[in-house]
Amino acid sequence: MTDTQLDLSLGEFRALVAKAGRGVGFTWGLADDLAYSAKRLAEFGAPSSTMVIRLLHRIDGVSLSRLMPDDTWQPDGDALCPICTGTSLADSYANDVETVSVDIGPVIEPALLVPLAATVLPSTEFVCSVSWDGGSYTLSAVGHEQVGALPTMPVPVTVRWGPQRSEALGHGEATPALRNHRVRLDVSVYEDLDRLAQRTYAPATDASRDAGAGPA
Amino acid sequence: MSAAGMSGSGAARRSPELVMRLERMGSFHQCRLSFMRTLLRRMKREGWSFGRPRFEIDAKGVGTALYTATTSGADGEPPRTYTLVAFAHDLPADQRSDRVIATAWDATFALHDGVPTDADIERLRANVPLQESGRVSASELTLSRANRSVRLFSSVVDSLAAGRQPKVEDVESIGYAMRTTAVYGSGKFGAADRQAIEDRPELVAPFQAEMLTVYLIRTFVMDLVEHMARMASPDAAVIEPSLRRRFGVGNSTGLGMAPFLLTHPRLINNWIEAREEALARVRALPSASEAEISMFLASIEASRRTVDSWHSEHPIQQAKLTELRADLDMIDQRLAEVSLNAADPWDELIAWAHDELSVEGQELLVSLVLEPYGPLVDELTDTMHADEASPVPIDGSRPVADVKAMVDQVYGWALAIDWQSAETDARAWYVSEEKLEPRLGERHDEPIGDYEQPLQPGRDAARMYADLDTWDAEATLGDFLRRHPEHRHIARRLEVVVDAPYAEIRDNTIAADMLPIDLLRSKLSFFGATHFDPRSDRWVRINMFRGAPFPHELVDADPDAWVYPEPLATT
Repeated sequence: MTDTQLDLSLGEFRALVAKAGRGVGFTWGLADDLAYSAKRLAEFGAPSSTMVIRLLHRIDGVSLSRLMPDDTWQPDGDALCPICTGTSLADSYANDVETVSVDIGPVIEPALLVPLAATVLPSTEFVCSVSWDGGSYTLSAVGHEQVGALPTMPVPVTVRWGPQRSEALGHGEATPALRNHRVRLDVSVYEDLDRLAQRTYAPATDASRDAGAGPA
Repeated sequence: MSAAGMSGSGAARRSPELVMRLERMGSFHQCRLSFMRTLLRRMKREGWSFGRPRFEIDAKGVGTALYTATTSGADGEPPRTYTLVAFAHDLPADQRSDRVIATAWDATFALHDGVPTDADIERLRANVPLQESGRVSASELTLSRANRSVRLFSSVVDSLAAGRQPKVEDVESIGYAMRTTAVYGSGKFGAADRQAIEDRPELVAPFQAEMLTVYLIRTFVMDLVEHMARMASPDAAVIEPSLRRRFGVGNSTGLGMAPFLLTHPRLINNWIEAREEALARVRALPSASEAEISMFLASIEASRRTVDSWHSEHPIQQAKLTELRADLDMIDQRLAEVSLNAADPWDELIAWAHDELSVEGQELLVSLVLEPYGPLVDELTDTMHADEASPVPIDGSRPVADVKAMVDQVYGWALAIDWQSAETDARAWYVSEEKLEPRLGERHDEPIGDYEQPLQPGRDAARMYADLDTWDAEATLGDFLRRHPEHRHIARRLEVVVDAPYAEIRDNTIAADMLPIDLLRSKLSFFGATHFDPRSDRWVRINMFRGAPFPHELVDADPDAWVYPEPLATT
């Protein structure tokens, strides 16, 4: 740990992101999905905290209905939320993933949808990828592969599930040793997430003080 | 078949509708599968070694100590050492508080993964005593703080310094010289995530790092009192071993622990399913041997001693103890009338208990009938962990009609509740800005509704059901959740609990009359705690490892019998 970085456990990072997500208006279920996605990407070394911060600031105050995909995977508003999109993809293809490709309207921080869409992969021999003009991000059970720079503005994407073909993505069961068990956050990023997380805390009242929570 | 299980020699488990009620969960007792006992059995079986490489404490009880526990390297695993790093302080009495949000403690601890370097110890010294701002690292498994018992700590030191044994009555009524305010593991305050250590055989079972921490803290505390007595007087006595074992480690547990029961449904299912499976296996036995009967009767007798020495100042627990003492009398009477040499002895006894005893007595008996059957049930501890790192996928292709049927199956009880009533929707779980602690508030008296945590699955399932009711039966859950993302958390929970019978509590967790201590006790019973002493409806004191052999005694000790100690002669 340095003065400018914090070393968080995955559990701490996941809890912080979930609260921050809830703080900007995600439902509890979607906030949990956001946190899982951020943690999963962080395990593979992807800069998920930066993606989360950009996403949360962009959608802060926007109605979820404007961020949710319609029946043709297009947004009602300007762009789709990757968490709303990733969860909807997983829900829609839960029993139906062999080799599937879906074209989707502009998505904010598209890499964040991949861990959620990947939850329905039928086996560790399959991968899930999101690609856009100029790049892609792919996740398997044991590895990830990024091609090109991650987009910082919403972009139309194609999501694919299919057999994995890249040696870089490994085979077989996930090996914990290949993954990060910690998340290093710049203090400024931590503080930014924490400010959003604090919106989930109820202001103290005399009644709550009187009620007492017990010692632990 | 009754809810209490199948009569005869079948192996049915008790139904979730019977077991997963807060009143019953709040009456659970420790049993063979409890996590403290799991740890002691493993340490004994594998022949772990223990050490105290450092003990630098002054006459006021201030300094640093290290305690090591080293696995034997069984089953091809490399030996691993875990080190309790203990910092002892001399805290002015006016700063002593049981709150986890306190700012100073009599002792602070971390369980280090391996043997710490001097740099590690100094890093921990700079962090462990600090609340919130104190951080440990991936090299630590737990963080804990403890305070001296105002009533017992000094009197024990003084007695020993005067060359006398502590009074048995005091030790028996208080039971510990220090109590922890919390033991944090699983990634809290920067410690290693469970995910990082769960493949180690000695840490697979739940909370083993936390239990080891408390076990070593207990050893440290007893060394500390004897050391302080020696520093006060070279002629100080040492505590007689059987009396020494009667010191456990106290623990104060409050609302902070309560949400755990609701946020870990897969884990809770596995704990309770293991206990119910153990009971079913024993009930299915067609007969009992004389040795098994003797062991059971001895545990009944010892339980009476435990219950007799179990004091509580809280009216709810006092009433339960009165009932429990009466239950023990009825059990004695029953055993005098109906021989355990008859067919299906345990099934008959448990069925009788469900008809005749209080819930507290029923659950004590459930724990006690397991005692003679270690070879039959102890292996179930291998099933009590859960992989909670990944979410269970939601099958979005399910028709709405099927989802409603699933809600009916698990949450039928909740659908029968009138959620518009102020009594049923009286409370809300929230986290306070001031203390960052989970709290339970009165929704209609405090402005907390907007901050509600998702800890009321019954109400939320009923809300989802009401919205599902307005949808076409053939529509899919995926489409429903796109329109109703506010139900996503309960839809996912439904995927878990529909296949995990003991994952869900069948009670309203926000009712006006809900007792949070029921949630706390059910968890603490799985830890193996005894002497539950509620201090209000929302926090409880317990005792851990009371009666257990110390590390140097383990080689010659029974790793299970300590829960049922022999009586001590009073002084």
